[in-house]
Amino acid sequence: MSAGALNFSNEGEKAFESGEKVSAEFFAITYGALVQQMVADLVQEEDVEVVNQQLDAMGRRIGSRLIEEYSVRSGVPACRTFAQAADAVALVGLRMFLNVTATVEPLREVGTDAFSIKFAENPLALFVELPEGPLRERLWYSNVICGVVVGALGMVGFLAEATFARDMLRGDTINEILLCFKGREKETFQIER
Amino acid sequence: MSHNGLVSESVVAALNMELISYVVVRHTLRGEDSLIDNSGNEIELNIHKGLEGLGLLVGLRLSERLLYRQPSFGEWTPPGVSQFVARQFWKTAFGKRIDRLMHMNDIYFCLIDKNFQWLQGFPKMRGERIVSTTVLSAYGYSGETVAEDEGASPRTERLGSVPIHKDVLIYTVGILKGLIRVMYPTGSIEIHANLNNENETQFVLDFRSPTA
Repeated sequence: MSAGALNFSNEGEKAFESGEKVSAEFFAITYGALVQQMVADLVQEEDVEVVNQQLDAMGRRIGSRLIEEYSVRSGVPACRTFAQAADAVALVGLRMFLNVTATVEPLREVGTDAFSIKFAENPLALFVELPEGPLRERLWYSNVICGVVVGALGMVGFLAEATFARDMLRGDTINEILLCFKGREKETFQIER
Repeated sequence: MSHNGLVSESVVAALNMELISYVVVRHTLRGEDSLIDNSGNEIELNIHKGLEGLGLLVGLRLSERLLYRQPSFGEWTPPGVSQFVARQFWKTAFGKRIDRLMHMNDIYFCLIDKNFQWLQGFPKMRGERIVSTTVLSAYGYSGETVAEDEGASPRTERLGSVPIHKDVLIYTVGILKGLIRVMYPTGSIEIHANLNNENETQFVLDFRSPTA
């Protein structure tokens, strides 16, 4: 872990400790009730992708609200590069809000500006087992996290795409989100320094 | 690094607001398809049922987790229920204890939150307006009503599919009903909530036997 990453990790821990905290069980139960309701509301039982999209849209709204608290309380300076933004998401944001310890590393593919974020603990997935069938195969249960990340980054000028690549609820050994850089929002207000 | 069972309160508040929005949007959008003249009232009733239903589910499931650690035998007493809600539940869901717990003869309790976390994003109440829910668990859904705000029509109160104060209170009352049902399964209880113009939210646990 680089020195910068270590600093980010410390900032995430401090930000989490200094904020108001509530039960992760209550969080998981609330989320589970909502996902269950979304699945029950599906017109076509196999249309699981609709729930994925709903969770993503919900996450974007949440992320666009959380970024303000992040800016105020995290103590991390504004990110200048997408690599810094990926570090901030994985090492500060996930820790500060979800109390999740994650790792981040760049994907070594030519021509991509993409990162892999991995975490073993998922507070949303407490008490959850997905039944065999369409849900286990196609539902990204914690897709709200991807939406939160994209929504938050969008508010600070980074256009990004976040998708789950692996999910322990599907039997994978780790949870993995791929975070891809899509461009930057043009700043409409510049302060020359 | 071990997981200590906590997450940020702001994430949980945001998630609960999204849950409430989901229910309100679902019923207001469906209501727009209806050509019935009283669709406004029907929408309100469906929103009430939907929010309370999800709240009940959350409360029931949460009770399994919270009560698992309580070394208690048999049914809880009304004071015990109220203390548990004021301390354990409020800490679990809102990260703090209730601000004030008032009671009358160990049978009627009023839990007062001076700055209810889940209403932080909502406009402050002005003038003499009070938001109130009246939920009578003894009579089931068909008998439940949403109290009018001094004659104000629910349709003028709600703008499109944006949640209002009452939605938050109805959902929270639903959670309390689900939680308390497990602790006090056979006794009589009425639960309702009020928000006054001093921005105090009051949750009333009324254990008096209903007058038939």
